[in-house]
Amino acid sequence: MSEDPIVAMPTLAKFRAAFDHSFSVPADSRKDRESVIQIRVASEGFAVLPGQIAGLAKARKIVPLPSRIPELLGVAALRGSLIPVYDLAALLGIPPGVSGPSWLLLVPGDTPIGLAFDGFEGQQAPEWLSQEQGARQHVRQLVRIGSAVRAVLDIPGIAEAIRKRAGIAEPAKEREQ
Amino acid sequence: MIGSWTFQRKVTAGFAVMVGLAALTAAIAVYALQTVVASKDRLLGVNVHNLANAEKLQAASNEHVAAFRGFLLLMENRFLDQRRSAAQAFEESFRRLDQGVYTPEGHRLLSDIQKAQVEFTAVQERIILLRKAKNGLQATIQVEQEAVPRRERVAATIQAFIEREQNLLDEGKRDSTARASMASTLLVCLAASMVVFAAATAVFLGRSLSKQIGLAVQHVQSSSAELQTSANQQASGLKEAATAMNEITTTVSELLATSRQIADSAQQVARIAEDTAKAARGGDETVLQSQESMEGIRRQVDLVVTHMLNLGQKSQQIGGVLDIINELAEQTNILSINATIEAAGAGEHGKRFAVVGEEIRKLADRVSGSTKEIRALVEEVRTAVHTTILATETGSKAVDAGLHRFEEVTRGFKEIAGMVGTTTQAAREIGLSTKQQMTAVEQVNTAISGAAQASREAEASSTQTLQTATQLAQLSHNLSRLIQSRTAV
Repeated sequence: MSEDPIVAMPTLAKFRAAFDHSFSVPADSRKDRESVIQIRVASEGFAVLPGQIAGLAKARKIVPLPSRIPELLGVAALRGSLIPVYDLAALLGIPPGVSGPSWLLLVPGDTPIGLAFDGFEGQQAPEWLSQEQGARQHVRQLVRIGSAVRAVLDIPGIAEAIRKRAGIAEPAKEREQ
Repeated sequence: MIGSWTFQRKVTAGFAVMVGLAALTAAIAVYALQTVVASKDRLLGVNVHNLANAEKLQAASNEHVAAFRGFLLLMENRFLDQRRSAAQAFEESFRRLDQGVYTPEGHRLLSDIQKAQVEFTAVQERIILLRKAKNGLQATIQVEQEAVPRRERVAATIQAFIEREQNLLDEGKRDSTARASMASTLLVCLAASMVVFAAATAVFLGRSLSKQIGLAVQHVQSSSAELQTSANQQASGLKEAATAMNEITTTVSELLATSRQIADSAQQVARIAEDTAKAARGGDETVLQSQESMEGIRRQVDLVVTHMLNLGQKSQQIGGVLDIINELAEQTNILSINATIEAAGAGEHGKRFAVVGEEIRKLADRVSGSTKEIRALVEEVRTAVHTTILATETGSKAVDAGLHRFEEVTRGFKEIAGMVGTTTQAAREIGLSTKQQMTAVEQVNTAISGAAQASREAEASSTQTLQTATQLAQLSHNLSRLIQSRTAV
């Protein structure tokens, strides 16, 4: 029991030092190192730009809703409002996972949309590989994080496709953004 | 049938026949002598006596007549007295004759004499009366007419009787002579028969006995030869027996030595068994102490298991706390991400806020990584606890098995102690039995020594038997030769 402070104190001190050190770095040096959010859809890993989403939340209770759109899982309560939740794997054409989606991406807009996915794998600054659109649908760019290559999802494109299928009109400024 | 008789029976029968013949001869001789003696006695005692009495009767009659005549002549009374005396003598003689006569003819003649004498006496009485009456003439006439004829008749009848008795005497003499001759002849014949029979019996017995003795001698010869052979065999067998007895004596002596060694070994076994029993009792106590120690170990192991279970529960509680910390880190992470997203939406104004959110997110990531490490450590602890519990349970089972083994060892020690006790008792009994066996073997040794001595004596006796058989063979040969020579004679 006497070893616990010895083992724990360096880690805690290291955390504190890293936290304090981050505020001593100039803000401009961080610009080219914009981070991406890593998610897992079914068994595949993707990346999402934080600027394209309005929030990230744990999917609590999703109430099924009858709809002609098969990707619509139902509706869920998030931040005091009721939002429709779509299956991101189904939207990307990926077979559903074993455990089912448990996270939600909140797409900004007048009518926020929730995209359900299977797992949140962290946020990290990637190495940008290309600016061309990927061969896959709703994929905007590719990034390398560590040794793995991930596709960056085009969240506004996905939201546009959903709204188009649902017959929802969206202002032009949001689409440009 | 006679051929199957024994010597004694044949000899006895021959002598019995001889004795019978001798007895018959003696009986016939006695009978002949008695017959001759009876004839002689009758001749001398009856016929001669009757003849003498007849002559006396005749003399008395003559005297009676003479006295009658004298009275007639002289008329004196003394003649009457003489006449009475003569009459009495006559009666006495007549009475004796009447008693001695044994033939009817004699009695008839005596009756005639008596009748003639009575008539003559009656005539005499009348004449005497006449004479007494002095009538001499009448008396003379009657004498002439009556007395004389009667007197002659009396004399004639007496004479006839005397002749008759004389003839009887002569017949008795001839009869006695004839009987004596017949007895002599019969005795001679019997004696001759006895001689012939004795000779025949002697010849028969001699031949029969010679034949049987010859057969017996032949049997004796063959038997003596066989006896010689068997005596030789017996002598050689007894020599071998004496040799075997010596070997047996040697073997028994070795057996005696071996028995002594066994007795010593049995005593050593008994001592070792007692030491083993002591060691078994010591081992039993040691096992009991070890069993108590194992009980203590089991209690400690149970305590360790309890502590390990508590440790597992604590680890589980730590896991729960880690879940809370992880949940907090995750929520913090989500909040920081959302703050970053909000800061990104705020543009330039949200950059510094984005830095804070980013650092908070990193911190939450680090906390999450640390909670993962702690969880891994806790899982390792729980795994170690489970392993320890399993190992402890295995140890507890091993301790239980050890206790069970110790109980078995205790029972084994008790059984060993019991068996060692039995072994001790058995070793003592073996020692006692071996001592008894030694005594018995010594007795057997003594008996075998006696038997060896007896076999040597029997060997000497068989040698003596051999000599006796040889002598018997020689004797039977001599006897056979003697019988053959007698048979030849």
